[in-house]
Amino acid sequence: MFSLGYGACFGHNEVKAIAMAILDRALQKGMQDGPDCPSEDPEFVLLHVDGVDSMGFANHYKMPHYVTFQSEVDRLRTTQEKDAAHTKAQGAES
Amino acid sequence: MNPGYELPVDDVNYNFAFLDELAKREIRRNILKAISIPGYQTPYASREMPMGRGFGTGGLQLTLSLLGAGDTLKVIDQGADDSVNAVNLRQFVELTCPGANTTERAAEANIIQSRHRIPEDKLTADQILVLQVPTPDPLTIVEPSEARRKIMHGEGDYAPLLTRLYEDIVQFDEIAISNRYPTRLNGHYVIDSSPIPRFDVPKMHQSAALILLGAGRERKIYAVPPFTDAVPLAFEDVAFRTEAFLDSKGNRRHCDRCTSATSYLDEIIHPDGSRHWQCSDTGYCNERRTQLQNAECEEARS
Repeated sequence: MFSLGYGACFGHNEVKAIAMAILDRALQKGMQDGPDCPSEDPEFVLLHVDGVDSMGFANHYKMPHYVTFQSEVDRLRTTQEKDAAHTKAQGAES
Repeated sequence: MNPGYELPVDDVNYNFAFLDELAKREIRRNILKAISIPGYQTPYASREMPMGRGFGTGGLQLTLSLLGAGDTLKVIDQGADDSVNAVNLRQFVELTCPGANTTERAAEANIIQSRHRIPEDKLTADQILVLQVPTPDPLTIVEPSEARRKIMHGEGDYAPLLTRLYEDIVQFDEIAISNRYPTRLNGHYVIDSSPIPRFDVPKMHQSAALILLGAGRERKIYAVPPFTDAVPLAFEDVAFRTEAFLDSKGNRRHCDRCTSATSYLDEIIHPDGSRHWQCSDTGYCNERRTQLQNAECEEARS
């Protein structure tokens, strides 16, 4: 199900508005059902929402991540191979 | 970029290592506390640095408070010396720490700041490894409230984390955590091992070098003291597994440049679609390559 979050800011700054809207939605969900992750918890959000801090995290994604990515790919391939082998074995049984 | 622009180094008088002396003293005291309680996340007043949070401000503050004249620093970014974060941090240290040296060889350095890799060369007791950490708490994925996580750490209550691993096994028949693998230190605290790949986690176990982990945004310092047990969480029947780098025949892949079959490899896809594999640790790879070339030269001569 979809739900709405709101964000408004000055200037041509869609990214900021979108980020605010996502955060707003997350916090509302946290208030409704209890927080499932830190971004739904006001304690965490208020500690990190300061402009310089949060901008740094969003910007750091432009740095290389190939070691981390390689590690992710390894897990993905292993689980996919296992899944394929499993499906094959099931097919042979039936 | 303006090639004619030079930093006005002579006009600004930075304190040695940029941070003021009180800040450095506070960080050093917290480092001592972190070493005394292996894996405990020591809170500290993370200072504002001239770069965004997320670019290694936690690691950099540790490095700057440890570095003195005569020390030698190596900076690593995803294994490489010439990657953007490594180059910038190294330049910053060269600018603000006169008398400190920088190097690209892990063996020469006594302080190594690294973004998410532990060097392939075995580190010695004379070296300190500083790791940059985005999320210091391994319990974040199961408990959003920091107040409650702190209690869970104190009580050694890691059941929800183990349940998460178990759920992975049920769903994928494999523990699906790729990096930031939760690791238990000295039989009590479980740490977030920072986004190092699983391949590097066993290097923390009984490491001769002191490993310090700094999270700037989350304002936490923790440590793996030398010769301390660091055991990745797993089950008796489902073991912890590192990245295998096997080809379709089950053979270990090796580096295209230096032929090493024991290092962590990066997969590189060339424009023609072919896949190549290369060491992620460039310092290690370059050294091996030089050795290989020297050996070839000797062979050709004899």
